[in-house]
Amino acid sequence: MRKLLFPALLILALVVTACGGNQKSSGGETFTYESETGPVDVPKNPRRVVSLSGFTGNLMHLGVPVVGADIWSKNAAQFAEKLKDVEEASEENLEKLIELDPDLIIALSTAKNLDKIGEIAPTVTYTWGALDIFNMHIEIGKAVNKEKEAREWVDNFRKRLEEAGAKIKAKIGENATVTVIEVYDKAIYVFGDNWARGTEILYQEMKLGMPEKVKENALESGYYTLSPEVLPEFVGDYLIISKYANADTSFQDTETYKNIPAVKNGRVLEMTGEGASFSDPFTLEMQLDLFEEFFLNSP
Amino acid sequence: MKLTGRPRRAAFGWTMAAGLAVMAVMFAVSLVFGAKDVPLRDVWLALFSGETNEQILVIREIRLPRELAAMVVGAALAAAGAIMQGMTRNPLADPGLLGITAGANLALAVGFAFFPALGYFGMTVAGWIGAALGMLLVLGLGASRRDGWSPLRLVLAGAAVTFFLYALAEAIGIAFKVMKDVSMWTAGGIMGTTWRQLAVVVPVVAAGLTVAFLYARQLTVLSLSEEVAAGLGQRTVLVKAALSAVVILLAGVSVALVGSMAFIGLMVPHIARALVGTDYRRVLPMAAVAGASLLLLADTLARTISKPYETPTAAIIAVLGIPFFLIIARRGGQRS
Amino acid sequence: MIPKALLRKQRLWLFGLLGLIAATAVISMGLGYASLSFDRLIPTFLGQGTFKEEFVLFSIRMPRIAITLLAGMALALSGAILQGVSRNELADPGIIGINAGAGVAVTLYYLFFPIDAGLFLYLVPAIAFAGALAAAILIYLAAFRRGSGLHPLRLVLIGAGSSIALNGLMIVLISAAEPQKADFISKWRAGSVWGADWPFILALLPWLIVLVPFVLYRAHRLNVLELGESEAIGIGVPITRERAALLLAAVALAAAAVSMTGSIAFVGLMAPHIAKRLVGPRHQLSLPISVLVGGWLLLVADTIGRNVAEPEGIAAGTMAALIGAPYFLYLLIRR
Repeated sequence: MRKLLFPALLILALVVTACGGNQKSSGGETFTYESETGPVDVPKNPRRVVSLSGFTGNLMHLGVPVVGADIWSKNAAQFAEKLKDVEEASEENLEKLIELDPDLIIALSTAKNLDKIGEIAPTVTYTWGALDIFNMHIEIGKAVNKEKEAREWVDNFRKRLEEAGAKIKAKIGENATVTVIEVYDKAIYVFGDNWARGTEILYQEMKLGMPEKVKENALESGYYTLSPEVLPEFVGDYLIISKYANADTSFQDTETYKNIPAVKNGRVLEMTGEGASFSDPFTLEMQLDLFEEFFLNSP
Repeated sequence: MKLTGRPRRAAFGWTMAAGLAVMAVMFAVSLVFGAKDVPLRDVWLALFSGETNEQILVIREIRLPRELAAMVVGAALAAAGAIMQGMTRNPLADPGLLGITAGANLALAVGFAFFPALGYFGMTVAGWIGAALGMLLVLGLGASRRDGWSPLRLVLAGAAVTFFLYALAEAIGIAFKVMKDVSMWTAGGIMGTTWRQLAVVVPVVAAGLTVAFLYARQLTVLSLSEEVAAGLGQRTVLVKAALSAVVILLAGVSVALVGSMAFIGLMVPHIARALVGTDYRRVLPMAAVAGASLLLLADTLARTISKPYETPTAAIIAVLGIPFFLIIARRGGQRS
Repeated sequence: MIPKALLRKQRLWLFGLLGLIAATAVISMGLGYASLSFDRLIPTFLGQGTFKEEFVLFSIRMPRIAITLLAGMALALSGAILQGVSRNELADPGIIGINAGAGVAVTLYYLFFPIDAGLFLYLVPAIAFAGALAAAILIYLAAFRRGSGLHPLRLVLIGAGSSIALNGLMIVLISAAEPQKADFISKWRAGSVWGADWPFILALLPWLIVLVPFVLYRAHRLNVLELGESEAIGIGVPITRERAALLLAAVALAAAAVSMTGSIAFVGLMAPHIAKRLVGPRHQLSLPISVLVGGWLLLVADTIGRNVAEPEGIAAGTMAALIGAPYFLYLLIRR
C-alpha cells in the first residue's frame, strides 16, 4: 500500500488545485440577450467573434469582425476569399480558442465542450433548423446588436425574391417543377423545402413547384436518400444539383440519367456542394443570382 | 488422399455444377431486387437483347456492373484467402488479417496526401503496392527460422502490422487532412462501380485465378508440409513467390475497387474445403464460385434490408463472419 | 525471500519513475497551442495567473495529463496480468481483443444515448467493462479445450483475430450512425483521449482505487501462475478462482481505461516488459514499476501527439501504436 501513497497524493494534489480556478472578468459594455439556453451577457460591440459552425456568413454580412471560423465555412467557395486570413477555430481545440481571445462565441447547440467554451467567452448557441432562415438571421442580428440591419436585409431580400419568383414563373410556367438534389460521397439526397441548398427560396419564397414524389418522401422528413436507380422518378422539369468535389458522380454517365427529360432538355444547374448548406445572406444572394440566371436563360 | 492423378470427376463435378447454379441464381436475384424491384423479364431482356426501356437501362448501367463487380471481387478474395490458408498452413489466414488491407489503406492515404492528381487507375496501382508491402511485412516478420510460418506468429505479426499501418495512415491523414477521402474510399463498397473500372478489374482477376489454378497442385502439397513439398522436388521458393504475387494482385485489386471486405477470404475457403476436400485443384474453383455467390447475396441484402438506405455490404459480411470465426478458431486454431 | 539489493533497486526505480512522471507532467503542462510558458506555471498554480492561463492549465491541460496517467497505469497493469496469466510476453489488452470488445459496447451505447457528461458518464466504464468481458469470455471459450485446458498460445491467437474482427464490427456499426457520432467513434478507435475533463477522471478513479490495490496484493500469486501449473492444465482442471479473479481485474482495468481515452494498444505490452528488465521477473517488484512506466509512456505519447498537428494533433493511441508496434514486432522476431 505504501507504494501507492505517493501517486495518490500526487493525483489528490492535482484535483485540489484544479478546483480553485477563478472566473473571467468581463470588461466593456454588455447587454443581456435571451438565447435558446437562457440569458447571456453579450458585448454591445463585439470586436472578436468566433463562429464555430454554420453562421459565419450571417455574422460577416452583419459586419461583425470574425477572428475565428469553422473549417466548413473556410472551405466554402463563397467565403474562401473573405476568410482567407481568418484562423480556423474548432470546438475541439480549446487552447486555440482561448488564444484567439474572443469576446463572443457563436456555436451550434450540438457542439462539444460547450461548458468549457462558455467559460472562455460569452457563448450563444442555436439549434440548426429551429427557426426558418430569415428569423435565424434576425436572431443572430439581435445577438450582435445589429437587429435593425438584419431586418432590413430580410425585408429587401424577400421583396426581391417575390419579384424574381414572378418573373421566373412567367418564363417557365405556373406549374413547372424543380428538384434539388445533392451528391455527397456515394449518396444522392433529394430535399424538401427547408433543407438549405436553396430549397427555402425556391419553394417557400418563390413558390416554384415540387414534383409529387419529392413531396411524398422528402417534404416531411426534410431530405430523402436516393439510389441512382430511382432518381428519374424524382426529377421534375428542372434539376438543381449540389455537387461536392469528391463525390461519386458516375451516375451522370449512365443512359438512365441522360434520358431524364430535364437532363435531355438541358435544364440542369450544377452548383458547388461545399457551402451550399449555409443559409446566410451571402450564400442566399449568390444562390438567387444563380437561380435567376439558370431559369431565365435555360431552354 | 491422392496427390497424383485426376480428381474424382463425378462427385466433384456435381458439386461444382451445384455451385455454379447457386451463383447463377444469386446473380439473377441480385439483379431483380434492389431499391426498386425489376421484373425478371426485364432482367432477361437487359442481358440478352438490345432492347431498352427505363428498367432495362437501370439494370444495364447501374446494377449489372455492380453485381459483376461483386462476383469478381467475391471470387478474387475467396481465392486469395484459400491460397493464403494453403500456403501458410493456417486456417485463420485472410488477406484482411494479414496486413494486406492495412497496407492498401496506407498506400491510399499516401496517395491522397502526396499525389492527389492520381486518377482511379493510379490509386488502384497504389493500392496494389500498399497491399504488397503490407503482406511482405507480415510474412517477413511472421516467419521464424525453424518452421516457416506458424499460425501464432503470423496472426500476431498480422495484428501488429495492421495496427501499425493503420496508425501510420491515420497520422498521415490527419497531418495532410485527407482523412475523409481515404475513409470514403475504404468504406466505399461496391456502389457506383462503372464499366470502366470493371474493364481493369476483370482481366486482372481472371489472370490471377488462372495462375493460381496452374499452381494448384503444388499448393496442395505445400498445404500439407513444406518438407514433403521440397522432398518431392518442388521449388518451394518459386511457388510461394508466385502464389504470393497472385494473392497480392487479387486482394489488392479488390481493395482498390470496393474498399475493405474482411472475412470473405477467411470463411469461404472453409466452406469450399468442407464441400470438396483439400485438393486445391478443386478448392480454388469452388472457393471462387462460393465467394462470388456470397458477396452477391450480401450485396443484395445490403441494398434491400433498409430501403432506400444502403447498409454497407461489409457490415453484412462482418456480422456473418464473427461467429464463423469463433467456431473455426475453436475447431482448428492450431494446425491439427 | 527477496534479496535486499533487489528490493533497494526497486525502491530506487519507484522514486525515479515518480520523479520522471512529475517532470514529464510539468513539461506537458507547458506545451500546447495556447501560450502558457514554463515561467508562468508556478504563478498560475498559486492563483496569480490571468484567466486565460488558469483556464488553459486547470481546465485543459491538467485534466488531460491526469486522465492520461491514470489510463496508462490501468493499461499497464492489465497487460502485466495478461502476460502473467497467459504466460505469453506478447499479450496486451489491445492486441487480445479486450479493447475492441469494450469498443463495441461503447459504440452500441452511443448509438442510442447522447455523448455529453451527466449521470450517464459514470455508466460508460461499466458498459465498456460489460463489452470487454463478453469479448473476453467468448475468446476464452473459443480457446479452452477440454483435455488440454487453456493453452496460452491459443488464447493470444484467437484474441488477436477477434480484435481485428471486432474492430471491423465497430466500423460497421459506425456507418449506421449520424455523422457526429460516427466521428466520435472513429476518434475513439484512434485513442484520442476524449474524456479529458475532471468528471471523467472522477468516473475512472473508483475503478483504479479498487482494482490496483487488489491486484498488487496478489502480485506474488501471479508469479506462481506464470511459472505454470502444467499438470493442472493437462488434467483439464477448470480455471482456478485466482486466475479468474486476476483476469477479471485485467479486463476491468483495460475496459475502464479505454472507455475514457479510446482504444490504446501496446502500452500494456511495453510497460511490463520494461519493468521486468528493470527489476526482474518477480511481480511483487515489477507490478508497481509497470504501473508507473505505463502512466509515463502514455503521458509521453499523448504530449507528443497533441502538439504535433492541428487541430487536435495525433491521437495518443495512434502514437502508442507508432511506437509500440515496431517494439512488438521486434520482440516477435527475437523469439
